[in-house]
Amino acid sequence: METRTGQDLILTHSLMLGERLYLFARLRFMAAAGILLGGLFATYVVGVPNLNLKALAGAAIFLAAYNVCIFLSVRPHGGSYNGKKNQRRLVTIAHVSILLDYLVLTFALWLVGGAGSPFRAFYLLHAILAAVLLSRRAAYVLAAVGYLCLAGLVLGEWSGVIPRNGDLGIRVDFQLVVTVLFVYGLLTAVTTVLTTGIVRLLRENEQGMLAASERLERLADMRRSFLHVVLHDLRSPVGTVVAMLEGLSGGLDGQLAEAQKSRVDRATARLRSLLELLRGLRVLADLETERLESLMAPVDVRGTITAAVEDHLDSAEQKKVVLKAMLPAALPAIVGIDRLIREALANFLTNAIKYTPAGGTISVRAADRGSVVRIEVVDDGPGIAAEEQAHLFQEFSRAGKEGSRRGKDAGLGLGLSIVRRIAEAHHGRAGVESQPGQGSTFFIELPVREAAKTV
Amino acid sequence: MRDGKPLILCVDDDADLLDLLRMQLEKGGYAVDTAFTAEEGLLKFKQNKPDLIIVDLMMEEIDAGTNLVKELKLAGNQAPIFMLSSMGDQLDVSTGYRELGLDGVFQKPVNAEALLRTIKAKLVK
Repeated sequence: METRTGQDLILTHSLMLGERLYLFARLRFMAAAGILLGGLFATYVVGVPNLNLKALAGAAIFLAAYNVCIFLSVRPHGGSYNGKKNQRRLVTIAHVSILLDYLVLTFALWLVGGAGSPFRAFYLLHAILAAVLLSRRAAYVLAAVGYLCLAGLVLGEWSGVIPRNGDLGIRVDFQLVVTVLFVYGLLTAVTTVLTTGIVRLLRENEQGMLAASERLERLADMRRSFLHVVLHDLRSPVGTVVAMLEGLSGGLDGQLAEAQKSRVDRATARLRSLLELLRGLRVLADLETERLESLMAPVDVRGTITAAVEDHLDSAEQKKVVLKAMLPAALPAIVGIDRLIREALANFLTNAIKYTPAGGTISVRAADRGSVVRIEVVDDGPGIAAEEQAHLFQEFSRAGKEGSRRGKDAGLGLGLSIVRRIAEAHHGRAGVESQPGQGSTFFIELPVREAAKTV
Repeated sequence: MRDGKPLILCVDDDADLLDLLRMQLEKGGYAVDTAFTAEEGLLKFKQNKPDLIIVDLMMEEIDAGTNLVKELKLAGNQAPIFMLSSMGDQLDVSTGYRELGLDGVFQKPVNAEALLRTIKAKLVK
């Protein structure tokens, strides 16, 4: 892991610079409108004499015009963290925009009364913005620039170099000049020191949280890979033992007596349900992978269904159940993880074969429903009562709580919850439609994604 | 072919499974070569030219199985290749099955009857 330095401290925070500049650009349009409307309001409602409305409108238009440029250049970075890539560009935009703001503010302030106008306070706003957006040093520099603009205007008007506008009845005399320069100097300094201090504290806290979340992330990663290793190491020997027992039962080392074979078969069945459980846990572990989205690829649904059905032909035959696929010639491609979709179908099929009595029929159907591909596994088994359907797709539930099903059929508990999770991971859904005595239809609906349609 | 029987090369790092596979295949009327590692598998392939190859997908080293399949191809293999896989192998592996040009994948634990039936059908062709 790379260690973080003070340099990154600012960068971490400034990952959001684009987003904030975008927000401020939208606010700046309101400021332009505010200058215009404020001027009109002051003249016609309040009755302030001698306001140069044309010049104010000019200032507002200039403000809006450069803001269009800022808006357009930060908009691409507005929605997301821009990372380090555009950092320099965005910092430049922040500097330029604040300097231009000072220009407009000074001009507008001059129009509405200059040194005597209460709108002086807007310089402080920009000092705060600079502290929030930029580094500590830039915040100080920009606050100083703002103060110099105000001081220049005040001194200019006092000395007569700059003519006065928008007479508010306030005289610009020595006392006013000293008061404004002193008070605003102090205010600017205090504001900047306080704001940069608070911002620094926030950035440090943010940094601490980031480090903590990274630590948690690493722990979660370790836990995941540990789980994978454990599950693999549990599965391998159990799988081998199952294969050996099946060989033994099949007479590989000489025919077994009936009682012996029966005992071996029962042992095998128990181990197989353990395998099912491990397999389910592995899928759950996989579903927690953060890379899941990045692993998604176009899936040939028809091929996936066909493969899943083929995998179960043997067990259907052993159970004397007819298993058939009835698929349309073409299905839209979806984006997903082939193995997980197949796993979901395997769950449906294993259950259907388990619960459909000999002589029954299981059909697998698929349909293009416009925005989704719907895959159904339809059986003519005993069906499921409505109150049981609700719990089927939850963790550790099992159809039919009666004792007769326990043991041999264990494993359904995780099975359908896994199907639900797989469907959710694909932004789809899974469910069942059934009535007692009428068979069951288990379905999974997977969205057709725009990207996939062209594949 | 060996002693008039089709020769099957099995590569798996699980000795017990390899032993079982050998017994089942020999009982099914095939001659069997076994290899513990991908390296050994490649060597036996070159020496004995098997008629069919069965490879465990997930041997101890990651990708050892898929790499072996690629190397077999480079070595000019024409024999059908089947792979053994446990559900729970890497998520992104399954997409590679078809690209690898495998003739089929068996889920572990492998059903012996299904295995023999598939192999028989493949070797008749």
